[in-house]
Amino acid sequence: MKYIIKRILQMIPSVLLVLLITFSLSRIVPGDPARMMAGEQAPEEAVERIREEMGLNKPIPEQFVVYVSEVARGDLGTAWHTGRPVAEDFAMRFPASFELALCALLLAVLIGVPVGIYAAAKKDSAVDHISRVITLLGTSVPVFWLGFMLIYLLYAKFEMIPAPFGRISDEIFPPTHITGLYLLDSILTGDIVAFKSAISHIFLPALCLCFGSLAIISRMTRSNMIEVLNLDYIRTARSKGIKESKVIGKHGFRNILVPVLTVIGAQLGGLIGNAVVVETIFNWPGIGSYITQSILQTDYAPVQAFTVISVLIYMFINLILDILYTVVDPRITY
Amino acid sequence: MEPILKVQNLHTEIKMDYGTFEAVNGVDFELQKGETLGLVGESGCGKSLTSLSLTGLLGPKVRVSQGQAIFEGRDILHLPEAEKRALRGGKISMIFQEPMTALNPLFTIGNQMVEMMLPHMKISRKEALARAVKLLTDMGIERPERIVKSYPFQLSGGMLQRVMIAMSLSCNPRILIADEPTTALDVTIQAQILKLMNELKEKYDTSIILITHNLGVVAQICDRVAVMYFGQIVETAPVKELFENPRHFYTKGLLGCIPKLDEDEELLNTIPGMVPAVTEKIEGCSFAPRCSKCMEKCRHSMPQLEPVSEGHSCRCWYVLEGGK
Repeated sequence: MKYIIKRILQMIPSVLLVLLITFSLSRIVPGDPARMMAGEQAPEEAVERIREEMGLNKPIPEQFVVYVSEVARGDLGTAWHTGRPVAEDFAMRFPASFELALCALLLAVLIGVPVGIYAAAKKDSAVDHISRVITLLGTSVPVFWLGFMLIYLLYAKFEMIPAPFGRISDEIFPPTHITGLYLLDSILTGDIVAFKSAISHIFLPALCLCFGSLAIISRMTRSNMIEVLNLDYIRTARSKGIKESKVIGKHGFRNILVPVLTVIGAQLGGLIGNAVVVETIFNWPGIGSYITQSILQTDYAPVQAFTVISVLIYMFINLILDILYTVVDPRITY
Repeated sequence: MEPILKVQNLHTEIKMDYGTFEAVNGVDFELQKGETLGLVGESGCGKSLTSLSLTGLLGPKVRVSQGQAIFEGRDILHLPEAEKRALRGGKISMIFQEPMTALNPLFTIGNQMVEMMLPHMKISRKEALARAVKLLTDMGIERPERIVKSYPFQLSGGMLQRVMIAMSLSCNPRILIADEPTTALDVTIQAQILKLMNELKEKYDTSIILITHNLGVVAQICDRVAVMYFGQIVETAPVKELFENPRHFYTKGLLGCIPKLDEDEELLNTIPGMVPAVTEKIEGCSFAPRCSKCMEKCRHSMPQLEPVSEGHSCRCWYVLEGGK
């Protein structure tokens, strides 16, 4: 517990640093937000007035202090391209992104880990070779290309999935709001129609988003497992006459959990980044597509907020992982 | 008396990228009931592979290519995997060299001991844990209730090897194969462990195959010794006979390597030359290139393991043709 508090306190300087970086970056990039807001034809005085309203005429250090204190109060600024507070926009779009990321992560872990274990146990078998080719593709194919190809094949050519637009088909009512996750909500309310539609919409973007992570997770699982299976205690376990599935599933798996958890944690970072691309391609009404819009319109506030929140999420995940390590491995204590 | 284990003409080959090599090349031996047989040889002579062949624990590129090992009327080298598994840990159990790495670091001692008993004995988890505590008490371990709750990293090497021995005896095995059980331990702990193994052999009515490169260990607890060289047994005799009257020149060389305190030696004795690599193909006697009494015949014809006196066999042309 003391350790957790210490870790949370340690996050503060990191967050400040991130705030400084995002703040500086958005000031360095070309494009004058006041001019954008006022419009091309607006007179110089109008632009100046907006600049004053936004505090852009103040000295940069002062702008930073104001910015930090606002973030600390939960005020992430106003997205001028929607005209609403960023926090509000985020809250509205968060469930969509969360649902997509969760599905992608579940797919990546639930497929990647077993495939990796199987490939390690049956090293140099056909399954191992096939998984190697697929994972090589997964790590090398850019996510935007994969997205377009999947849409082209499965939607345009074979019409196996609905139009890649949104979370649920237009003619179907979204399930009653409980968690905001359509899949979960439709199960909770027993709304089969909505569930079917939601799953057909989320399938492709989730697949697309998980592909790279799946590849890395299965590769890392495989290589760690191969290493562990050569260790003495695995030979001891085999000498006990227990089933091979138990040797691998118990003795092997427990020992690869720490490195595999680390990889999964690291992949979450990549997932957040890729989500921006995937959501844009599939018109997914989440935070990622919102950020793309903001970037295209030189809207500082949402981009800054997104970066800060991503970092916070990432730190939080790492904290959870560090706690999980102690559960998995009795040798790790803090 | 019928031997408990009879190994005949065991060949084990290793498949490598550039060919297949025999690492165990026709090993024959018998293990009597209640006997401790020492399997002695340098690193890489095939003694560990012999034991792993018997228990079916060979790696993916290693396989038994020939031979049989009769245990309780069955050839254990050619059983279906499920039956091999039933023997492994049950009637034939093993102890390994490095107690620090031989136990899984992430599970408690109790968990790992119980896990071994469950598939071989009709016993509940709770009974198995009680048995684990009792076994540890037999090992002379104090406060065994605490040990079963510990993780391997919390215990010392000597303690872990006791745990390993307790575990290996947990299903009342007929044969215990101990592969360098004391090599990784301090000398003082070594002696304790050897003494313990000797006592337990009587108590649990087990036969032991002790694999070691240490002749001192052999002298301490073995009844009979088989000396291995380059995948073959070159000499086998009761322990006293072997130490007093070694016949094969490799055995003589090994015994000569033990430094003596009462002789003022400048240099330690060694056997000239090196063990051939497993990839080498040697015609004739495999020890010929290093042997001081090498004859023309030795270079192209392989001698057989023939009896030279009661219970003493040797694989050497020089000895078999009456030389001393």
